[in-house]
Amino acid sequence: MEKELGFVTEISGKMREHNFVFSYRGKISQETIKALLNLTEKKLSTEVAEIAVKKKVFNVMVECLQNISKHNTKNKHANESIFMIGSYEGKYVVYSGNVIENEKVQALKNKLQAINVMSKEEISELHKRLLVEGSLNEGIGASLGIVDIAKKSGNKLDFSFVEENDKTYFALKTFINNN
Amino acid sequence: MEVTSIRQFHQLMESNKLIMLYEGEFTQEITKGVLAMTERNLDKDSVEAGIKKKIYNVMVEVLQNICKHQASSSDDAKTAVFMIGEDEEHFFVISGNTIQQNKIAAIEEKLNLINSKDKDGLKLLFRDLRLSATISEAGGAGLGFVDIARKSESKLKFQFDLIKDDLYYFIFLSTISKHTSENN
Amino acid sequence: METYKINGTEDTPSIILDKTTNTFEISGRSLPEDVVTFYKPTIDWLEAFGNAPNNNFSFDFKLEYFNTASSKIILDILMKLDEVAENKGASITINWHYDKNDDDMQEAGEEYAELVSLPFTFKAQ
Repeated sequence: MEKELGFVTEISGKMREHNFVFSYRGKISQETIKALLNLTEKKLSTEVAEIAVKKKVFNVMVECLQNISKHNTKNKHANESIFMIGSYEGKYVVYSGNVIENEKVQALKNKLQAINVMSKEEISELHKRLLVEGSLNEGIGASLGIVDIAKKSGNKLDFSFVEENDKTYFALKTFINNN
Repeated sequence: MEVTSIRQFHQLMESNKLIMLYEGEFTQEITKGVLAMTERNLDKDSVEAGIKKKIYNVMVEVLQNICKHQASSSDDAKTAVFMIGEDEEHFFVISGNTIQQNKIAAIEEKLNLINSKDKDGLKLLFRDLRLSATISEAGGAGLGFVDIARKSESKLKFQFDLIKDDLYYFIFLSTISKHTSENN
Repeated sequence: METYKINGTEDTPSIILDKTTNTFEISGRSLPEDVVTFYKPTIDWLEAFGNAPNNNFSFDFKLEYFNTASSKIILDILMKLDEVAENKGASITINWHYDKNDDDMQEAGEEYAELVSLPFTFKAQ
């Protein structure tokens, strides 16, 4: 099979432009998560960022990835996920993109929007309430996971939904400050 | 990157069959991490053990080539890119790194020589190089390339893009078939 | 009763529950795929232990990292211990260890301390 190489120039150019460290496309399983964490840890260990920041990156990563992987188990679009990390001068950005069913969109959008208008204190309160009241069987995972991401990031959740016929592409960008 | 561009980048990876990209400096630890990452990916696929080993070997050679280049590069040229691609029939191992103009001719010559050989020719070339090359001769980047070529069913692909002055970007792609019959 | 002891992996913690030596500790990282299954032996052990607990002991959490699903199980464990303290009059202290630079881990401990009535000792390393 012939493959021309211009695409390598294009993609590596984009990676440099956005300071991507790595990008993974495919199915996200617990095994993949472990490998991605391992690689990120090694990458972070070479960088100057503070431990607290590195742990936040780790945290946000796990929640994003496990949200996707849990979602995947009952999803026919399980193989269509992407996960990326960007790093620039001790600041990190965690990107994820995956396909979800249309009927899940509204509830997720509501959750994200509700969190985005909350203050830091309100987010902490919600976190505590979900921790106490939620049950692991009732899909507490996703809600608590998102609240945790918001809490750790300290920034507004940056998300987008693009409908494509019978499914929707959900993208999330989480910015982690370096202090 | 804007959150709304994630999907586009996702599609760009997909249309080029890429499953994994890494950009940055390559330390020994990171190389190990990248290898482990791909290894687990291979495990999930029903790829034959022999093929897995082949892919692993090619990745090691490519990553070591990157490390070698990196060691001899100036600071602003230390980063490199490593990519893995996959379609139904093949795996693709891709590297991209900066290189000084004065090194291009030798690499090009080696790669063209390798690409001119058939399976038996590669075997002979590998034997000759191993006999003649001293270890210090850059682990004979040549030997690494021949090894990759022997494990890869198709011709090696490469390209040199001018960055600025005498600095070029060297892109290298090798293809490994998922089926043994074509190769061994 | 029998000691429960497992070694940590890259996504599960080390756990020691030893009534004889009065050692109770969860350490490392906790991000198993299925937290309920992973922690079932721990919960069961504590359930049995709760019927005849030691009078005076500390429970050490030395976690480097845990995911949100684990955070729920940790609360379950703390609530179980809370119940043991209350019903059986056991004197239980929670030692919450964290890296001195890890504000999030400290905060997580403080959140738990608010949610249960057990005394917490914070140990920064």
